[in-house]
Amino acid sequence: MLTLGIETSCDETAVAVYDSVDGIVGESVFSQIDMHAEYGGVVPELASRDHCLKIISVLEDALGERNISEIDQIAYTSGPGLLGALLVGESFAHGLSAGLGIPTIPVHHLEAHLMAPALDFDDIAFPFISLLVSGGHSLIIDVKGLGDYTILGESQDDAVGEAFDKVGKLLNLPYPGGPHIERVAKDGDPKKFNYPRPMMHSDNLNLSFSGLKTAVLYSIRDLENLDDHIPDIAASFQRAAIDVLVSKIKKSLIQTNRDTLILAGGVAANGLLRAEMSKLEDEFNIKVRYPAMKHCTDNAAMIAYLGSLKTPDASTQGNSNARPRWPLNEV
Amino acid sequence: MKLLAIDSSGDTSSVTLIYKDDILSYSKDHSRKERPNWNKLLSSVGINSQINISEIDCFAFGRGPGSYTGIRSLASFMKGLSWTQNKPLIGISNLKSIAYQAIKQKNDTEFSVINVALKSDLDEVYFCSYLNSPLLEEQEEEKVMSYKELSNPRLLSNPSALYVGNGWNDERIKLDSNTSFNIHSDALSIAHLAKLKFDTKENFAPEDANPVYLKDTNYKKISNE
Repeated sequence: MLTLGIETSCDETAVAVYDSVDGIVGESVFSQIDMHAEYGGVVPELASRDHCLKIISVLEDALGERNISEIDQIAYTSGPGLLGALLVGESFAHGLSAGLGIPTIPVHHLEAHLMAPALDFDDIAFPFISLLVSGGHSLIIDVKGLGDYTILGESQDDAVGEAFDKVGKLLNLPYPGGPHIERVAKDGDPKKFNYPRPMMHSDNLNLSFSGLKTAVLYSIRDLENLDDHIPDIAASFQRAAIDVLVSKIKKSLIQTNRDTLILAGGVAANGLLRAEMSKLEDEFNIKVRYPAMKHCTDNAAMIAYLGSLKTPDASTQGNSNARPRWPLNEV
Repeated sequence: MKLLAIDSSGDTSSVTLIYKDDILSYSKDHSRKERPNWNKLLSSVGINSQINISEIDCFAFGRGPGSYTGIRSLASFMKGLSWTQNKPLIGISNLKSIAYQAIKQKNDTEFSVINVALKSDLDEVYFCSYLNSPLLEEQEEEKVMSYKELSNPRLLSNPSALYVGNGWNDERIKLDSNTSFNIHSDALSIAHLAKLKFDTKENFAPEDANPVYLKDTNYKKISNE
């Protein structure tokens, strides 16, 4: 069974082919980061336009020598995400479906992230804790099985990746800020600025990063020469954000007694976050797994894989199911 | 010659199948935010019941200007559909579609020019002027105009011009009701115009058939802030 996956929920145009026997047999991603960098963030209308321009070339790249007629079904991201961007992938999927006479399967983007580790590891079994951290989401989820998810905690304001991007902008770093903050933080002192750890000591597992970002803003305002302090600010901010995540994950492990922790989302690429979470392996006697970088960020492999686990629904065929907001617990 | 055309640039979706000498058409009104069921549109003209999609020689769609979401969703659907068949995909201007219908409805040669104006947002219209000829040559490129420009007396006082499209339905525009009327684009006119293009034997690759927005986004680049 070959499942084609299509992902266009934000600023990556991605297509992949998942073989239920051999796993991922083709994948291609076109990132729009360079285009959006000029604006300091993702411009939804530009994202939608570019998806429409690139979708065929990305599909051809993912298929390689394989003929489209070999595909058995098409999974696509139907939400959450940018509506205009979602509609490009969805409509394209419906067009392919009508031309090939095969079914489509609308897929929840975050659910696909939760299942993505299975693409790279064969030692992961339910249940496990997933920390999903990206520019759009900060979630701690108890994953008990396919379709059985409990959100243990989530950001009450900015997503952690969003806070990285915004602080990057305050520091005049290129977009997206996350990788650049990590880069300059290597030369900085994480104790130089004593930034707050919002909600770190609260009883629940919810998160908050807006106050941390504001604290950075205030600290910059008082400085005479920002450039001299950028590495220290970046290191101190990064340390504070990751301290909060580690603390909350520890609480979630104690609360659930799970023995596996999965990191997903673009922020899971952060080296300090990975190093700190890896320390929990010994401390809690658990497995900590990170998907390959290409499967941490938005990709179509996870969409194709999740689609392969689902059964096509006759009532969704040809219909628009795009949902910019789609709570995970409504899957 | 078998040609399938779809239009979904505003608050109506329509589909037309030219099948040899027969023409089948279907249209459905809906709100701008509502999206059509693609499978139902195709089956409304007999695709997959009387005719297999693989029999179609050419695909066509209304490529805009119009609702960004509408034209982009349609373009994406038609790209996928035509690409699987390895068949041409032709994008037709929605303004030209309106001009074509105007000539067919008026059915005379009294008018030498068809001025098409479609309402956009921000108090602007999409505009193009066409010569009344078989190929409806554009007098100038399609463009966005303000109502101030559109209400220019020189533009409105051409006795040999037809004024069509909902852009002229505005209290600032004073036109003779005999020369102005409202038409929206449809798949039938797009099919006829696409057939003319198809006959030129040009290459119409699906990846090159893209929406035409006429407007850039208003977001500021960091360098311009």
